[in-house]
Amino acid sequence: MADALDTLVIVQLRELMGDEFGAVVAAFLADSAARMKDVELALGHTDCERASRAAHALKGMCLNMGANTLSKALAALESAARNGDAAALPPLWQVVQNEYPKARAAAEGLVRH
Amino acid sequence: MTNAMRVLIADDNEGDRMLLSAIVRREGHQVISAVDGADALAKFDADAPQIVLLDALMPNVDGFEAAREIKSRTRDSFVPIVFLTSLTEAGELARCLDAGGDDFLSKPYNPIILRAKLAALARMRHLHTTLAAQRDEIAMYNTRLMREQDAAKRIFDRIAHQGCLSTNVINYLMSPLALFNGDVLLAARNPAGNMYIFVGDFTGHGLQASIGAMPLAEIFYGMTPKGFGMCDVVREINRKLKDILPIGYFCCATMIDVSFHKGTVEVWAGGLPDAYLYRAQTAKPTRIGSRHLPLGVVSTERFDASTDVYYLAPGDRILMCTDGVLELRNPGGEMYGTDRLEVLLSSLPPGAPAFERVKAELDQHMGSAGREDDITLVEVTMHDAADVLAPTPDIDQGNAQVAHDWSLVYELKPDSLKHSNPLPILQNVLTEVPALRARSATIFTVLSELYANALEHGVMGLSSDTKTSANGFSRYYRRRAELLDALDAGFVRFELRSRSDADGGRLEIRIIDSGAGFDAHGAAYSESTYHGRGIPLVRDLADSLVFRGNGNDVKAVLCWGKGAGDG
Repeated sequence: MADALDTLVIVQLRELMGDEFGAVVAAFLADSAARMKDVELALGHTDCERASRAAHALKGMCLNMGANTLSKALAALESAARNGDAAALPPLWQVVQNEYPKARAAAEGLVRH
Repeated sequence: MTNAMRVLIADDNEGDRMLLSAIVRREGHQVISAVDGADALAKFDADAPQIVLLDALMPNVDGFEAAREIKSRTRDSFVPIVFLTSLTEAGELARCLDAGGDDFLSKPYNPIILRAKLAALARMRHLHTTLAAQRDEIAMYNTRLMREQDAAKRIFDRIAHQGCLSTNVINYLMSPLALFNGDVLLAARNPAGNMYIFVGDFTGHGLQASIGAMPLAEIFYGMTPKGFGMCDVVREINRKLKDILPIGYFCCATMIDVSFHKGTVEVWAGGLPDAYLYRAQTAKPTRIGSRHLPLGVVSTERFDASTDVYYLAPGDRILMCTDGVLELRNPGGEMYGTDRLEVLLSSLPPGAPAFERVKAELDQHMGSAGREDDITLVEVTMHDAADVLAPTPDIDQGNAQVAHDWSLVYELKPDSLKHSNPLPILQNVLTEVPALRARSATIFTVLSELYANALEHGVMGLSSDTKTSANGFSRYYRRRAELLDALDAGFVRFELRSRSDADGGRLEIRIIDSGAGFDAHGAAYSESTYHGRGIPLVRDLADSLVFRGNGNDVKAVLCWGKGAGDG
């Protein structure tokens, strides 16, 4: 979990949001799932433009949650998609798919206790 | 937090929106949330936020378009827009700025940076609001100032430009540098039909320079028709300006009293450039220099109201100007100057229309250069009295029928003879009678000529033969001033009697002086040389004129209608 989400970011987030911390994490879980679907669909249609935008949005919310490893993978995917580098997309998408469940599990762990 | 603002946050990611909202709220601001661009525009109109935080990539109207729209709706006020982005490409960032973005906030959100940005934007906003308010205020003041100046100018023109500038006697050119003018040009007739002309140039320009012109014009137009002498008017103007003008402010002026009956021009000149006298018969102009300090400089006690008198034949002219004429620059920056003016005046043949020639040369000199100063150029041409329009008498026929019968004795002793002019008081009394008011010009001329005669030739014993030459005039008036100053005995007594009824009336003016009369001077003096030019004029105007005693007791009678019997 320490790998998936930056502890310092989480501490600050908890402090900042107070009672709303749980709601923010829940929103992250919902938003990120929707964006993952977006990316997947776009890649399925080889819609690089849309894939890039969805990856960008997902990257932003990951940064706010301290999901730094995932956001780096998304930045690489976004960049390749924006450059229309279709060949590079599947392996990069694979990295994102590997990282996402870890970040998600870590986030879920935050609100369970 | 004292400077709480309404902050619109538009982001389609709920988590990010919540996070940002929490940070902004914690800073004490009020948050308005929008879930996409279209929602942002709707909430912008509804809630009028003061700062907008926009995610760049949103469904429906995206951040760029929303920014453009918001900027176009806030042309007059300043609503800062901050793009929420983790965009890192220069091209993308430039797009945000092109769309009207004022700043960026990148993810992950940092509360410290956000707080600093909000504070900076609040300052910018405040600055902009202050500037806009000041701009509006200046625009409003400017509009008001123009309106007030316009109104003031109308009042000013009514006060300062009435009079008789537009006669065949005066040619003039006045060019205001601003709406108002530091120059003053006034002309009015006194009750005897003399024309007083005042040319002045206040220090400075614009409103400050023109303010002094208002009381000046009031005094000039107030005193001249009442019969005050030019010296009285000049002295009073000096007193008033000395009172009201700050130190260092004054009015350079030349005032002249043109008597068409006598063919004389009396000049008081203080501080304006030389005036020029040029005759219809000879080509060379004569310089009339300034002898006094400008008006408003010295106190009344030290004020010198002495004048020079010139004899002018019909067609002779006097040209006066303010220094704006001499300082007029050509496009090369060269001033017009006295030399050019004198060369021009000297080159003109006798009787040439000098005013038009000077005016044309000034225009030519100036070329395309703008005027720097207020320019006033005035030319006064001597006319026969008959060729000058008479002042319009203020006749009130409705009361002219009222009968009256009164007499008045008014005697002036040395101190009064020295320091006061009895004519305005008498004129005032006499013109209370409607029938006399209609004849005020005649009455004033008779009174003033007989009084001058009694004082100068009677009490002071001056001989008028010196007045026959142009040079003699100034000698005569200098001697007159000396004698008056030293006067310690003598008197002039007025005895006025007026009677009238519905059919007509008569006014008797008897003036007795303490002088020796003309018999004492020997038979060599005829009545007319003794009395100068004035007496034949009175003979023409009065129905009868009789000298009694030694000639120091004179009675003039003016009749109208059927008269009112013999007195």
